[in-house]
Amino acid sequence: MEDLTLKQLESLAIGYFECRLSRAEEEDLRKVLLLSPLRSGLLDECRLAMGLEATVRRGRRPRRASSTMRWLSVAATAALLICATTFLMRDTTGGIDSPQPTFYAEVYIHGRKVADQQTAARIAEQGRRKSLARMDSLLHASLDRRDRQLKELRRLSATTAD
Amino acid sequence: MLLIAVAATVTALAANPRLACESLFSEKYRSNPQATVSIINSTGNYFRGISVANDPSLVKEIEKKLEEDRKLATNTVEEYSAGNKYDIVLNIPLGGKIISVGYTRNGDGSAELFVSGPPEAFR
Repeated sequence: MEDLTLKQLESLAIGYFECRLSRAEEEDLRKVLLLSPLRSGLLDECRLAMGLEATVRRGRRPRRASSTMRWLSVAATAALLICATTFLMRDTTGGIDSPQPTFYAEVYIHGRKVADQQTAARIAEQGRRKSLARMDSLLHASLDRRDRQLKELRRLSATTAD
Repeated sequence: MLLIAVAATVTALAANPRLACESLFSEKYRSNPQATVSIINSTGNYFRGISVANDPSLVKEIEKKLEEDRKLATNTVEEYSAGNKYDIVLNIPLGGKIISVGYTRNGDGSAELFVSGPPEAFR
């Protein structure tokens, strides 16, 4: 009985659970399961049912990871922690570019900061409107020029076609 | 696991492309006696402006930074006028938004530059 294959042992285990084995056959199966290195879910269930918990526990002992794998795991965990810390710290820098409540302005004229916040806000806002108005004017002028040139081009094409 | 950690680190460190022009609003230029610098932070708008009077070397410095940022622009409108006058507007994608950089050179050693856009673009 010691030379049975895994399939044969499983077959006997099924027979055990279905109470088809004789007492002698059960005893033989018990001895084989005690000593056999063969394992499967069914055979371990059978071992447990036969009171052979120790052999099941012995078989389930986890393999020790090699030291290389252990070091790789430590390195990966450290890298992940560094990455998470870096990501979290990106948004915590302070300074003038941190979001200010509602509206905040600073103006420096000839190297000197305008001390009064309201005056600074007024000057900064005037400068902003002037800049954006100039930008709008430039963009509109450019679009107008483009439209005029397209019209002229169409006129010339029509004249040539005639 | 290690590969994932490395990839995540690279992604986290990969910041928005920073504008070269933003350095024009640092302490170095705020304390420049030839410059006027305006800074606005509001919930709806991020605005920075610098204007320079009678300083051709500072104007050159500004134009050098502008040329760097021009490479990032998806849309450019520029105009040359008599008397060495020059205007340009750049639209640059930044942080998933579009921001504007506008520049005017007045041809007499004076110039103005601004950067404007939604605050989320600059975080």
